[in-house]
Amino acid sequence: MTRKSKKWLRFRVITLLVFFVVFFLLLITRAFQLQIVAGKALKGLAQKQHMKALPLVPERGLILDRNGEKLAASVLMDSVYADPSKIADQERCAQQLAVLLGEDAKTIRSKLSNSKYFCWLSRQVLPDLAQKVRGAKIEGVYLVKEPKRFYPNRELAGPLIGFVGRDAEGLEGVELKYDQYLKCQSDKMVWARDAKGKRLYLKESLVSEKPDKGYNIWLTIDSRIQYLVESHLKEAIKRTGAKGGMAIVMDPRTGAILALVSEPGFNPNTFFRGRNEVMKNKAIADCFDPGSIFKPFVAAAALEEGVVKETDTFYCENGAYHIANRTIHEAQRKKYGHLTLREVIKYSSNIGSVKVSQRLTKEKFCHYIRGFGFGAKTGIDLPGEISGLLRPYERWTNVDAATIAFGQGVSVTAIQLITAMSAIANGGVLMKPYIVRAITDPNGNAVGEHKPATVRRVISASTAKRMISILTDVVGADDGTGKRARLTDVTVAGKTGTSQKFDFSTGRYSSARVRTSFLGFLPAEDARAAILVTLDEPQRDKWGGVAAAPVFKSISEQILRCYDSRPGEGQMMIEEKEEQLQDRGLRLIAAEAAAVPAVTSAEMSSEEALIPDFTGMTLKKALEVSRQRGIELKVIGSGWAVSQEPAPGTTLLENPACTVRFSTGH
Amino acid sequence: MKIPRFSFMEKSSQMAVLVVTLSLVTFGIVMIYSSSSILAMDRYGDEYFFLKKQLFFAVVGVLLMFVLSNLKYENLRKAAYAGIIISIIFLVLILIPPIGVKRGGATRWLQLGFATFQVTEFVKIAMIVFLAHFLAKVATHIKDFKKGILIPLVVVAVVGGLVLLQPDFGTALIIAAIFMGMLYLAGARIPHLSMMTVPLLAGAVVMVMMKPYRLQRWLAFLDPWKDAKNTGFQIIQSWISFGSGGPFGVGLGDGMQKLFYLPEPHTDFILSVVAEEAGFIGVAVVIVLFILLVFQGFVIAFRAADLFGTLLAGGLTMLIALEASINISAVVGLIPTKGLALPFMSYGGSSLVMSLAAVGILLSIQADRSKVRGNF
Repeated sequence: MTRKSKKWLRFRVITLLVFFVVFFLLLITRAFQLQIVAGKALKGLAQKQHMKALPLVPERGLILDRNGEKLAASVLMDSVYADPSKIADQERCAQQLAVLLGEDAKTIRSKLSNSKYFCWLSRQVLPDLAQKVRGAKIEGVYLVKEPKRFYPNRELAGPLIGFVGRDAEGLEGVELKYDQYLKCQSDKMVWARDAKGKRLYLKESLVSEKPDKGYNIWLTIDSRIQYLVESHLKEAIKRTGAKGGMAIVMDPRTGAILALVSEPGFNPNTFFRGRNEVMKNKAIADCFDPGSIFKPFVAAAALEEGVVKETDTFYCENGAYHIANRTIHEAQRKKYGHLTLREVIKYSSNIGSVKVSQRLTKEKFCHYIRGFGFGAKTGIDLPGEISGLLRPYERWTNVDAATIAFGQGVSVTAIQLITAMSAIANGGVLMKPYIVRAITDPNGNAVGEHKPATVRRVISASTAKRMISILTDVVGADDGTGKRARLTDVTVAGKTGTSQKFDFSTGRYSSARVRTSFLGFLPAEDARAAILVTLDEPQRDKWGGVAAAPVFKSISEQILRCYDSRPGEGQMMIEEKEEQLQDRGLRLIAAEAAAVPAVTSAEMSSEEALIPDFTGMTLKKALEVSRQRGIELKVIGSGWAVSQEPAPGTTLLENPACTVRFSTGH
Repeated sequence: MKIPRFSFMEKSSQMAVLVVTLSLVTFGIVMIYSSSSILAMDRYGDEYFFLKKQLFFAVVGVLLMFVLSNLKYENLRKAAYAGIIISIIFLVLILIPPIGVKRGGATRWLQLGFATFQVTEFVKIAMIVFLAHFLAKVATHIKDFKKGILIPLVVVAVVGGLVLLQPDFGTALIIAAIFMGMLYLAGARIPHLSMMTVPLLAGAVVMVMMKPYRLQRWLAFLDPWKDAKNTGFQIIQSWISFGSGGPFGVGLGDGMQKLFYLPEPHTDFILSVVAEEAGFIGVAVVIVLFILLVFQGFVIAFRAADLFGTLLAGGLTMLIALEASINISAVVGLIPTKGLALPFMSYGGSSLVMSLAAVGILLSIQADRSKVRGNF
């Protein structure tokens, strides 16, 4: 080999060396680009495919009445689920479960075969069933605690509170309106998973640190009043053979609703979606012709405008008043001659009311009706409110204007009526009705508070006073239509009403199908409670003074007795001071520590006497639960509870103790 | 030409090759355990299944490496023709079903009863020995196509053709590339080399057109996101591994991508697992180790005692360099996935043993140089 050829050979070796070194350096650059430059984006993709989140049903906040009575709470219930990958003989397992759960084996079979690692078998089962499932110890079938919404008072305020769906989402009533406060950030269990979708272990760091519970909602409702209003209304409905009814009790000074009843109601515990007609809260979502209870607002408008005085007399045409092509009669075909304004209201003369209203221009008349809040939503904090129907005055005929004067041809909601009457009762100011007075966090700290809100002044204080005097006469006078609402030691102001229902088949107002109402307040001179009672299509005692007034009376009597309150002390029943609320918030927590089942049925308390299932709980949660149950907890390890001794469901002994083993799952 | 050298320099340079090689093998074994334990548990119920086998072959390979490094590499010249004939016999044998074992659509393994042997791993080295011997012999006629190039071309064509029948497109390409590289080293004329690339490229295109999966791999390489769930899946998962590792990695053993996201995490995609668990640092270390080894390999070629030594060392170094760079290029998405192992690191007995054998021969050439000093 020549020296020259050797040189060339070495040159060629070096070129190859350089080529490969450069190529390898290029590969390092590429790795740098992938790992450092594009690293973040690719890491995001990695996490997306590696993580699987299972949202846990969040524990909703409580709904409490103004005294801290629980109206809606969450109880931890067992749900049965399966990991089909761990079930060897699915057919046999399905058979076994079918017997246990009382369900169709075929349905269970398809549930098992349709998912690989997780499927629900039965959600929120009763404790004794859960016990049986636990006892059966079927491989691959497990129980997990889920909070279930529970309404301890059953039907009480059902349409008002509303209800929740399976995954604890508010669907109606307060539950819906305040869903964002009641629900809490739903916790997620984040699992690492392999490419086959198999869950591997819990990613500790990614479980949210949000509070485990939603905010608590404090209602203005007093469940005692709510209860007595409900029972009296039910009783009246039964007695008169009515289709249904509504009753509202409001604090006229603030607009706070003390009771709101819509019958027939429902038990939100057993309520399911789909029956729209039943589930709506008729007190805000249904409108009707108010009838004679509308007359006070007409009189108030005329007084405020100064176009009438109490002593002015109106000729009532002997019971037949022709306007255009229509003849207006008195109720029950009564015939009146000359009546003063007081008497028009006291005897509830239709023709008299028409004549009063005629002293006003249509524009003024309409202005006051609107002023009292008719034809517009009151803005109450409940879902589904409607505004009723009040046509613009420009389109009123003379007949329209006349019939509106006695509450026909105008459509209003119950909440509008009680709010308008409250405006007379409180001296002329329209208040915005509300149902939630405070929102607190789980520790009892106030998050939000509802202060009474004034909408507008409708009439002057003196006009209001004059109206109160007229309305007191309706009840107080022996010949007043509302005399059946009279109480012995408290003056009552009010107005009866019976409205004929418009019959769409005949196109006329029917006198067979009526709505009977009483709208009033007490004590008349310094009102603490405004009450509306209305019965839908009573078969007996159709006249407002006969059917609805006694209901008003018994409700009023009991409200007074309930608070053992003489008129002057009404203060106590309505006003809540800030520190009282705080105090109750704290008490609420203490009450909770004594475990929720205190308010529930016997089966709940029997659950309490058993060792709870700690598995799956965090250390903190397990300690909390054991403290609640008075169980001494021995802790081994850290992370999530994986096993315990004695087994869940064991009866608690005198000095209960439980050893729980925790693991992070690695 | 005399370059003064000290014995310890030779020794230390030999040590360097040894250290680099064993580092790669050790790191490879760690990563094989990390990447295959769950897969092994899933498939065989034994998390050490692949680890144990690889450890065994590592021992066999290291022993073979020491044996070869202590033999005079000139002795290989005597085995050059036998080696290529045995290679061809093997390649034909595995085409016969009971002797050849088919896995994943390709017949690449020879059934030995107790184990299987990936024939091409042996063929590559046998071919390099043959080419080194033959080209050194005809060195003076290398510029003459008929006398110098024709015979090796025919041999390589036969071997390459048989490899393609398996089919093993990647290995065929490597064989062709090494042939070209060694011809270049031996001093073949550039026009001859260029002439040969034309039919090679044409052949490659025809091969790609014939087998639809090759085209699919190619398309997946061009835009893997287009079909991220199927054809683009492998490369995207590999990229995700690299990205998820970031600069320092998620920690050895803590990678997620080996959990069935990456196909064959312990073989072809072992570097992706390294990338995820050891980060850019880990990948850079592996590539730098390969650079060091390839550098040492070419230095051995540079300093070899004779032309046969130079060609042999160059060929073997190119084999390691090509295999490594093609595998790495594939996992970082620079070329379509080839189904080629990363030498020393990927799981696979034949590949590990033969790669260590190649290092053994390199060490032998280096050792010889230290004895026959200055005599080129």
